[in-house]
Amino acid sequence: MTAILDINELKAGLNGVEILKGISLCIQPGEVHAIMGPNGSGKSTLSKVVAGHPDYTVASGEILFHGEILTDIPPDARARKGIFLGFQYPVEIPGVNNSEFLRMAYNARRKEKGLEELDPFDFQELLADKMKLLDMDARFKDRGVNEGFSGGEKKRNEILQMAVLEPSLAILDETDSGLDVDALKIVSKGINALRKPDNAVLLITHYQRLLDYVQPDYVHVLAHGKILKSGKKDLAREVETRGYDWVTG
Amino acid sequence: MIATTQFMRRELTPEIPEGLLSAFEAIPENPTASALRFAAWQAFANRGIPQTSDEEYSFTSISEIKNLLSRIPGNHSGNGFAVTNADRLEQFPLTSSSTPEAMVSAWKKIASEEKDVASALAMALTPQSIALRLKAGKKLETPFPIVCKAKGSRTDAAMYLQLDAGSTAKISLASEVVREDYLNASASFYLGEKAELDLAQIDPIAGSQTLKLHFVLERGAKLRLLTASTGGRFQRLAIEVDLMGSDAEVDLRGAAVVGGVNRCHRHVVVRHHVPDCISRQLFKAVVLGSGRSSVDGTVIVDRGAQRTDAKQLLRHLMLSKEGKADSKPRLFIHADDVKCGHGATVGKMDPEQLFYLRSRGLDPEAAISLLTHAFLAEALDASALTDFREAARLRLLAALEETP
Ligand SMILES: Nc1ncnc2c1ncn2[C@@H]1O[C@H](COP(=O)(O)OP(=O)(O)OP(=O)(O)O)[C@@H](O)[C@H]1O
Ligand SMILES: [Mg+2]
Repeated sequence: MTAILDINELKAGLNGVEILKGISLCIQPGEVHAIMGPNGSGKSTLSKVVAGHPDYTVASGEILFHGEILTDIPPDARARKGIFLGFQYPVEIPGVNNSEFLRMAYNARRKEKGLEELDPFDFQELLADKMKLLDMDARFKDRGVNEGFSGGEKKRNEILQMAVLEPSLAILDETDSGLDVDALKIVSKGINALRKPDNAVLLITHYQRLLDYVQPDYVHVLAHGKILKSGKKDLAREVETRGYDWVTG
Repeated sequence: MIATTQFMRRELTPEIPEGLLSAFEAIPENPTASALRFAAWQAFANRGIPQTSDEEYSFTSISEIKNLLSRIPGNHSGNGFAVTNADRLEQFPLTSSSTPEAMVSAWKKIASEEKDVASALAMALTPQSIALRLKAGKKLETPFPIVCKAKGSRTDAAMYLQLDAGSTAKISLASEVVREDYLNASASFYLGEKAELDLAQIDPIAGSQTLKLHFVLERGAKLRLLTASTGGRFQRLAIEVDLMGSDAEVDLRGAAVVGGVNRCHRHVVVRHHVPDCISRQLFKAVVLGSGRSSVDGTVIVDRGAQRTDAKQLLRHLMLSKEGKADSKPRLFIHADDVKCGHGATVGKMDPEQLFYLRSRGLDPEAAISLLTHAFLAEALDASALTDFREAARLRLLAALEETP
């Protein structure tokens, strides 16, 4: 079986500074992986490199998505192929209508799959269903993308986008940070809904809390740009009680 | 009249080319129109065609202005300002003696005080000017289109519109100019007490144009202007607003996408003569290719114009290295109890916003178009002339795709 994501000895950074210092990670269809690690260890960097952020350069190693080398593929093409990044800090884009933008994104992905574009009315229906699933007020549709959204609302909006786009790989960078207890449950429901035999999820988190709701198959500890420890879901609990020093030594 | 122009012939200088004076003399005389045209000619002759760069033409090419203004006017019939459905407004051709005396003298006063040389020439050289009036209290609900045709190497055109007290109108203003041609136009608007005008103007798709829009606002009058442009060989819009009565409000918004080798210049002066008026200026322009855009905006608060509330924001979005953008926001405040603010920014597209959109599958063209659209939206969306505004939006976004 081809892995959804297969990262081999990846070294990458920006402005000539190496941040990821040799990362290997393999995610099979149907799996949920969690990455934990101290602040500044390179978790967001890894997520952006996989998504294809133009500021980052890959010095060596490779990333394969469904067996295809991603290196020269631009970020929008990666997204259309099914990679989704839930940002740690989603940007505000005033003036770009939230639902309009989401419809464009949705249709771009459909086109890639060889499907016909969905007309605005059908899309509104689909969007309404997904918003209901995530308990989001319909008013968010007509606002600018993330414009004036609270921290938690931005995170929920990321999950809404994920739910609409149905990626085959979702990388969620601290989507749980800043969510209240109820919102965490709702967001977890959204993530679990995406959990299907041919999809995969990579959760980046600092807290066990999320992993209680979305149970990972594997947990990795990233520190100083390297994966220092990998294990089953119990590793997360162990890290939380013993701290990162236990791993980094 | 002839005697006076003969006197002027002796005064001819490089600043006052003989060809222009001949063109002026060639226009048939008529008591109503000639008085106006003569006043305008004198306003022009006092300054002449600008020879060296001065404040008023900062950022624009003075040789280009000189060349255009020195062109000899043609005499194509059918050129100039025209309204198609004039019965909704009253229209007075200035060749008619039925034009109300007060309107003629108000326009003549504007002509004689005109400091904008191009505008003075437009009023002096226009073969047929039109004067329009909307009667007190009358409301024009559906937008009223005014078109200015300009066939031939050079066309001069002038119009005057008087909105009497309490009347309201939505008016669109467009001009038709082709590649090598040049239109020099001047339009003056008088807004009586509590009159309201929603004006939307769009620059021609090509060619050269110098357009002056002059507004006088009486007490409680409201003006909302949208000006849209994709630039041309040389396009310059001068806006002058005189707030003459208290509680008047003016909201000026500009949206432009200037690509290729196009030029788009805006020169704005808002003058608060009296207390308690509000003025807003929001000009946004996207520059790509080797396009050039400039916005030069001034707010003057006269002594005694207390409690003035004036804001001005000039923003450029640069999408290329070869393009050029200049802006100069200026405030001259001679009163002490005022609320004034101004700012100018020149920026690139935010790479994080761009990445965000692309990370959702939008290709770079779609993402850039969406962000440009968002940048311009604030300037475009306020206009009440929805159809015109949407047409302008489409043209602006199309211009975005034309330049690689
Ligand atoms: N644009 C940048 N310029 C300079 N340094 C950067 C930049 N982006 C990231 N870094 C550095 O790279 C390192 C890794 O950052 P990264 O954001 O990947 O950490 P993280 O593991 O996601 O941390 P956190 O848990 O705080 O989110 C940090 O030391 C950070 O300062
Ligand atoms: Mg991070």
